[in-house]
Amino acid sequence: MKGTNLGELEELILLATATLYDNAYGIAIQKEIKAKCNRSISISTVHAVLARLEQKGYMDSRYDGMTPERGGRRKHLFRVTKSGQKALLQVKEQRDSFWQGIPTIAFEK
Amino acid sequence: MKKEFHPPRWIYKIVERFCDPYLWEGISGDLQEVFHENVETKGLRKARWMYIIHSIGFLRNVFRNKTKRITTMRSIWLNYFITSFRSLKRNKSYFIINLIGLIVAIACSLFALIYINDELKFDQFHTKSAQIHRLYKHHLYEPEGTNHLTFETSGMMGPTMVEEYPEVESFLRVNPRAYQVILSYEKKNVATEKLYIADSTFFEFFDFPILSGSPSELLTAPSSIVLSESLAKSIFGDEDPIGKVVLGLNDLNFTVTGIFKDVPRRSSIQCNAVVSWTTTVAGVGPVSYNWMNNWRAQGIFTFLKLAPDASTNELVKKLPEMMKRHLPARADRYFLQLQPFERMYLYSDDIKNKDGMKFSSFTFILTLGISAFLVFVIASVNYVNSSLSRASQTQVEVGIRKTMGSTRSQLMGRFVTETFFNTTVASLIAMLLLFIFLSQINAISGKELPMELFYSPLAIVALLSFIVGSCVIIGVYPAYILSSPSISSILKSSPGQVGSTGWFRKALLTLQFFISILLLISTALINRQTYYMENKPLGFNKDQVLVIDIDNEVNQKIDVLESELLSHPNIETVSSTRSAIGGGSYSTTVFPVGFSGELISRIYGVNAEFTEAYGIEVNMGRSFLKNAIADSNKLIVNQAWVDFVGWEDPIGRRIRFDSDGDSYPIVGVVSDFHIYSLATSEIEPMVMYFHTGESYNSSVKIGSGNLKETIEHIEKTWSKLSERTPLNFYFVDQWFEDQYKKENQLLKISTIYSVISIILCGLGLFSLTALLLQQRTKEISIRRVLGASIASILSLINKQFVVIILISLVLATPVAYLLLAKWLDQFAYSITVSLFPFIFSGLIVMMVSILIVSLLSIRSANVNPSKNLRME
Repeated sequence: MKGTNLGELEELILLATATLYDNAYGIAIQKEIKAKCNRSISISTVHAVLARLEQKGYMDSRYDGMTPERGGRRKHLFRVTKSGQKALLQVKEQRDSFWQGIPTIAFEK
Repeated sequence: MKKEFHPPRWIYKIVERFCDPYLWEGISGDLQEVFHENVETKGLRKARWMYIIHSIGFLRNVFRNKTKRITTMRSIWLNYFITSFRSLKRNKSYFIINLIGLIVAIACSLFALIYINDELKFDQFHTKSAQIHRLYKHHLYEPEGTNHLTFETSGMMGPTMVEEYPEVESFLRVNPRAYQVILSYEKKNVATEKLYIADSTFFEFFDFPILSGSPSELLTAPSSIVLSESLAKSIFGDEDPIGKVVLGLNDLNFTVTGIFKDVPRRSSIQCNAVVSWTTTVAGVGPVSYNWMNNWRAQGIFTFLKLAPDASTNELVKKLPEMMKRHLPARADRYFLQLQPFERMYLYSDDIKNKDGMKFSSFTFILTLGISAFLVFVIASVNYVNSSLSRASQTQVEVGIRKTMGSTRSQLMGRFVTETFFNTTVASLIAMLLLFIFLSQINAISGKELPMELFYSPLAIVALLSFIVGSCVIIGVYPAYILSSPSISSILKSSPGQVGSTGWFRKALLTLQFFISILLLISTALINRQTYYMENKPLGFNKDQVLVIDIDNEVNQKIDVLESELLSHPNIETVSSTRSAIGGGSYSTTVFPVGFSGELISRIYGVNAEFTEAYGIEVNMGRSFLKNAIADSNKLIVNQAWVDFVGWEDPIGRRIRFDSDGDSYPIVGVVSDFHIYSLATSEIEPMVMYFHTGESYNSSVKIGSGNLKETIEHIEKTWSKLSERTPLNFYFVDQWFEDQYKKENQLLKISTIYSVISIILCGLGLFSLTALLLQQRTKEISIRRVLGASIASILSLINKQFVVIILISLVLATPVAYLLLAKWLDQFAYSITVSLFPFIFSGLIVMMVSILIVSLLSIRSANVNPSKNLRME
């Protein structure tokens, strides 16, 4: 269990990466989170989290798809790995198990 | 396609250097994309800003390029530091020699810098100083055909110039009283010096803050006095001094009209009290000092305030015409000039009559600066030379490091680090030494530099730039050479010579000896000139003569004073009269009857005892007779006077003081004697008259008995006669010595610097010889085995140094000659430059060098040759 704990931002970025599938690079992820959660995360923070997730092995990356807007540079594209997927699922299961255990009365008044 | 918009390049570079190259493409691409988008939505300016902010966001640890040398560099630098430290520990003597050199050089330079900076800051606080000019005179001096510059002006020049020339806005006349004045209030007597008599414009010209009193009326009324804060405090204590009356100058009453803040240290105008000028004007004030308020008498100082746009050149051109109208008799002799006030403190070397104000000399601070610089050069040369001389030791280290992959620039960094370490330690010690010895240094330099100047921002910046500067100047070149050996050099069994630095080292050594010899020659010549001035016969006996200033009160009882003094067995003669050596004379034009012209003569008022008290020889005729009232209209002249007029039989001839006035006969001719500093004044033609009026001075000739007891007797006698004034006297020989303070100060500084330079040169030579011997160990041993004597080995090693010293001597001689001939030129009496100081300086340097080299050589020649030759 220890070591697989995901931070909230890490979780969001993993989810966004998975959602974007084949076009998951810094700016796209930043925009996705902005669109879905209305949260502004600076581009450097996105990259920092991506780098950390890759170090942990939850993601792998490749370079592809250069555009003129990028000054001829390729995009650093990320994809969630199997262990990333596992970590996400684990988080989801943990949350679900909590949700199931919450008595309805807990949220009244 | 619009491709012309670019993000800021510099931040791009910074982040690029910082980031992991693998991540960089993605990062820079994203940054570029955001920028591109921002340019379109928010405009270029905003976009560039955002780009910078975003970029800075990437300067965090996750993105750092960990594969690059950054982490390893830290340990490499640490290793450099450790090896530097170890190598210093290993070569302690080398380290200490270098360190001493650097400490001395940095201390000298820092001191010189702070000293010079302080001198340049003088008189900067006056807001109107750009408009203020000081009037001085170019005085064509008839008898000798020479001329001089003097600050002495007449009291009418200032007022007339304001009246006649619109560009002159106002004038300020100052008569500084250099001697002591007693100010009395109720029962309290306070002695003060530096009392000025000045026009009401004084506080308008100069920015000395007024603490109380109304600024516009301070010095307008006659008999007004303005006191400095501390003087007022010592007279009045806590009372309010305004409106109080003090008894002062000439036993007159003065009303205190104001208090000014004590004059700052960095001011050439130094006064404790100012008395209103109107006091001295006939019919207005209580005294009538006619000589301060007419055209003819020259004895007061004039400052002028010009309109901001006035041209001084134009004004000076108009002045001869003014002189013609007001003082036609002197118009062809007095040429008025203007000196900007800002230049007064440093650039008045050539101008005479500077009493009552503080002056420095640009020549002096220049000498100080140049000497400090030269010492710095010597120490730097030592450092470079001894660093280079370690090449054989360091080349193995360099080879190994290169094998391990060090680049040359890294290795240079390693050696510069060592220099940095040395200079930093040296700077700190130098600073500490200056702190500790500041009071002694001040005593030598004759200037009170306060301690806080040495931790002012200027000093700190100077120190830091010394450290950085010396790293660059003396660290980089040796580092470049030392880091040059190739990898293969460690594979060779006998390390070769590193770089072709032989000639370079010799050139540096020549430079060092050149400087040392130059400083030595200068010191020797300055010493001879000072000795010459202090010991040249003055034409009278200056020993055991003291001069007492006589005030009004004692003047009434002068006979009592004389007889009381003479009652002491050790007092031989007392001459109470107007003139004395060191004071009480003036100069004017006289008209010898039967001589075709006129001449300016120094006028001395003396009595019968004068020649006796000073032991002045009478060449022809006689001296004045004691108590002979008939002598009161007879004259005595000096030999220079007779020589100028060219009379064979002067006795009985007559002199007029006005072209159509009465004439007086000459009864005697005395031999020439000096009454002023030999540095500034030549013997002038002199006319002595029998003075019967009030006495200004008493010259007392003391015998060879107990001096202390005699002076006690004089003090006792004086205190019986005078209630207000304490005894004030000076010894004539001491007075003459005081005249040469400037030269003595220069002598001290140049002695110190030349001693330092010799020592540093010696240290440098020491380490260089040690290296040389080390390189030639085998050669020397082989020579010894083959039968060479120690003497032949000494001559072998010494030969090249002797040649270098001879070259330096030959180079230094003309330079020193030119510099010192110019310096000697300014003296009225100067030595002729002989060959001796040059030979002497060369010999000293030669001897010191041969001594050092020989001692080292003997040591290495005495080592058993088998020990050195066995190594292979």
